[in-house]
Amino acid sequence: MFKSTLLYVLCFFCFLFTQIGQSETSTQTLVIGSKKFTENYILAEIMAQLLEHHHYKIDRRFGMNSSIVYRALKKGDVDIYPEYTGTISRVYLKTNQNLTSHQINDRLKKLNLSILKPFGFNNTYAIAIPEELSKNKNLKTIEDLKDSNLKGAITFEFSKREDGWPGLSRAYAINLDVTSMEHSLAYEAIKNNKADFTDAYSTDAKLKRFNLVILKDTKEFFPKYHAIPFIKNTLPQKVKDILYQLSNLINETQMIELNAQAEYGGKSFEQIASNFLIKNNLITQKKVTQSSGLDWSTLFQQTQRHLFLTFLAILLGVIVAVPLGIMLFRFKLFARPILVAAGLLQTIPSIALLAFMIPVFGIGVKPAVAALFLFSILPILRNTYAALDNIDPHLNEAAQGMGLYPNEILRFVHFPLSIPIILTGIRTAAVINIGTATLAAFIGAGGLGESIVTGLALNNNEIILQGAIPAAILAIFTELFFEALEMWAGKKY
Amino acid sequence: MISFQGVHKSFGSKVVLKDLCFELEPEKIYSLLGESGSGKTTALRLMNRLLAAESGNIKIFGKPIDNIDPVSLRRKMGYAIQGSGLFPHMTIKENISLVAKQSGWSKNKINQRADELMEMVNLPPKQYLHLKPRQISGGQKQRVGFVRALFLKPKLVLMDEPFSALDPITREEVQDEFLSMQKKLKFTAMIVTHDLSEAFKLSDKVLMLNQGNLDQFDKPSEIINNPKTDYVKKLVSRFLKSREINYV
Repeated sequence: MFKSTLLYVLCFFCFLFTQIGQSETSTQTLVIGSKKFTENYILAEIMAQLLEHHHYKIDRRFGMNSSIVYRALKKGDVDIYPEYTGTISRVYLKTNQNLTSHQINDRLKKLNLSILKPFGFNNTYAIAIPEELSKNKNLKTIEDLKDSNLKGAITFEFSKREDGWPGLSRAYAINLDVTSMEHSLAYEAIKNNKADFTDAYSTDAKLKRFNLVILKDTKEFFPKYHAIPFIKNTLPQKVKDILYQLSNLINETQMIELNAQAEYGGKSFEQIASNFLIKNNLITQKKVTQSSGLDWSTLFQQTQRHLFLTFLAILLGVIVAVPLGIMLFRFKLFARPILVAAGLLQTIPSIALLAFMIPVFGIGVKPAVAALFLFSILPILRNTYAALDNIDPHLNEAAQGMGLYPNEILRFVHFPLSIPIILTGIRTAAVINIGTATLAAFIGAGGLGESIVTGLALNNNEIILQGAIPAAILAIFTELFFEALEMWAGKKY
Repeated sequence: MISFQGVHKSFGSKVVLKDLCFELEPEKIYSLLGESGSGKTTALRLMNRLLAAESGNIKIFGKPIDNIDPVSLRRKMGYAIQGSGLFPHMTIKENISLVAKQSGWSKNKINQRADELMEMVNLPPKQYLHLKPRQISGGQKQRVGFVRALFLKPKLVLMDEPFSALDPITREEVQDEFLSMQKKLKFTAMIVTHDLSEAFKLSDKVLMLNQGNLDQFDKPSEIINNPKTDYVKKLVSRFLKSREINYV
């Protein structure tokens, strides 16, 4: 019975660890990243296919959080990703001036980064309101917002950036009620009359879809946001030369069209990129892609990766937190400070913790597992300590009095009696981690979060659910699995 | 067997045992008797080094106790506590044989000893050894507690209020069984109790503890007929009164 259980457990881990090989990249491979919105995915995919056409191996790390993909580029874990000149000057170089490409490249030199020639369109920030509202209240410019009583739903990034809401509201002296939320949700909020305006990108296909119009930026507050390939300086000249073929190839209207194909035409990023590159005679063959609809092999891969991330983190959590809990029980003086420290760790927002991991672990599986591991420590540690601390003192006395050595007491008495409560801690950690692991997609670690992030970018509920439903099912199965395990362990009483 | 000489123990500023002196002979039953806070459990725990004395000498089997490794010392003694202290996750057999197994006893020897002792406390081994503690009654648990304490054939058994969690009828039964076991196995027993009738019924000699002082160390008949201090007098008269009430 025990042997067969062990065999199943081993098989399970073998299945999970087949992932390890896949996560490593060879040195000749170029890593292309993207942020988590449609246009960035498309530009990244276009660059990827073009380079693949020239026989480069590409590791796609799409759908990352924007500050994370920049950190990854700085650290050298990402080679190329599509960025915007305005973002580089304002956010990364922290200047209010409108820098030219040369000035930007001069300043990027010390970071060992550079930008290539623009793709050809300016995707600046804009403030968008429903067309109907604009007509009814005669709102044409951003200045008109001043005396309105409108409510805004803006992205987190926009709400914090100096070239976003803080600067804009100062420049136009607007004092309005705004709420920060995810971009796709902001559009939904406007559709459902929960908000009146949002920040938008001027090439966003959603403007058309949601019947929004852009308010004129009369004071020319928003800087130019030319899309460019943002690269590591050390990339071979040959790679740069290939990417130069994309210079000035896409104007605003074309970009809106490409975005619309993804968001409303039901086309995959691969199809759109292939069609675009063929039309421009840059590649000859379409990249073979899966047909739309539910893609079982992707689902399987993502689920496998998701389980791998979660279980590796939990395994490490158990290896560290259970012995640590035992130590705290023996040296009670340290118990409070260490439990408080573990509690503090838990209060760090998941996405922030993932971002902190990048300087140490780069992007991909490692930082994701590290972050999930840190999140799993508290529930396991706290339960281990509490379980040991709550053992009936009579049993302790009996064990000592009958002549057991301290390690025998731990092995035969304390530990077996604590297992049900420790298991409850591991169960809590596992369920939390299955939820949190969906965020791993932001740092290119894959998993079911990939579908969720892509779905959010495309505002496509079907794709979101392809990630969210399996994640929920995994969480339920994990609950049931541990419930059975706890019952089995509890039976011993 | 065991001797205390000028043993002193305090917890913080509270003195628990003062200048304790006595000597125990082999194959006899002793009781440590006193009200709560009299230091009786502390005295017991000094005997198996669960506690250490501040000053004075404790000798066991002729050797100073400090020179004996605590764990091997405890394996030479039995230890039974109130409410049995059986481990809930182990079967009766695992409970009684754990230390024997850890001391390297063979399976055969363990099986034999388990059967022999279980028979002795009227718990047929085939019926009981595989059960978990929650499946047996309080009196049965206490008997199993004795079996566990006696498993390694100790010459000395320490017992901390072993009968106090039992109802009066069961208590009588278990006490009688304990006496018959002691007759067969010939061990020395030290029983901590606050119950005079129990102490007088079971013991050859009783140690009367009064706030850390040993007021009297005598046979039960001597204590009843010839109490040496006011404290002992008070306890004895209380005991005699309760017997009268019982008989009325």
